[in-house]
Amino acid sequence: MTKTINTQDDQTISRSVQAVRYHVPDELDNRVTQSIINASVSSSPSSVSPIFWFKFSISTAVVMALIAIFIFIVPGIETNVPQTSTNQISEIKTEFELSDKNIKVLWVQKKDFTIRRQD
Amino acid sequence: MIETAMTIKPDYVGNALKRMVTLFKKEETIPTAVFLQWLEPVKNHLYNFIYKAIYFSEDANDIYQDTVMRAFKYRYSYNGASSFKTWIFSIANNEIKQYYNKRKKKTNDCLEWDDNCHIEDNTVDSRLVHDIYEVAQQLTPQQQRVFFLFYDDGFSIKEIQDITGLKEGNIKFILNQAREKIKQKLNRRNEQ
Repeated sequence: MTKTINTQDDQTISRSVQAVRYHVPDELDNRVTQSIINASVSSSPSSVSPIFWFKFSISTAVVMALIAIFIFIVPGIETNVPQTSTNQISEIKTEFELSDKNIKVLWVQKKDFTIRRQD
Repeated sequence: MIETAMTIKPDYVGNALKRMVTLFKKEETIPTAVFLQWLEPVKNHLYNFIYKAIYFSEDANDIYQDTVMRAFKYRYSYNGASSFKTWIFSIANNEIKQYYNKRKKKTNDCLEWDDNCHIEDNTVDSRLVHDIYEVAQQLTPQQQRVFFLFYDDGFSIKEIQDITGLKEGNIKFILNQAREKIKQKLNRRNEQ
């Protein structure tokens, strides 16, 4: 703890300043004490302090921000994932060939597969 | 990418929830009886400081009442980091600052120092007391507060920092200036 009343001058000044003292007037002291008692009686124990509302509003804002993030940003992340080989046939289900008519039939899984004829 | 997002999410949400729970933890308020008990040994020092810091103006009564009522109202914010005396003096310091901000300048209706005010310690030189208070009157309101906090109430530099929010260097500078002014005053008196 920094304390610099260490010189003779400081001690002399300090003693001189402290020689004059003022005390709380009784009337003022009683009035303040009564005001404190009245204030403590009037404020019910269940009353909510102002800091509660501050915390409440902050946390509500945080919750709203989290909801907004989950609604708008997270779906965006999922849809932006690069899809691999969307135009390729993933699986050939069935294959058969009519050799006498030079026709080869392929059943594939992909819905938008276009059938082309190859002569 | 999705996998990374999924691994982070639970921790992030968990931490956020934990923080929210701590925010809503019940605040512990000092009971009225305890507050009055703590105020008792401090009240005369507090009043004395306010009365001198606004240089013997009768507005000290109003400022004292406002300070104590404000301390009582916001007693839940007292966290014990400093002593109760330091905490309530910082409230008084703010009240005095507001008082001067409203007035914009030192009040004209403040009482002048006179030799009739009660000097409790009879061993001190009353002329010296008079000179020192005359020098204090010439200081700015902020300097007066630092001066009385240090010399009258015996607060350390660190405690004055907590009360006023001033830097250590500023406080030491103010005290040195006051010391020099007092020395000059005493030298002039001795020369006469």
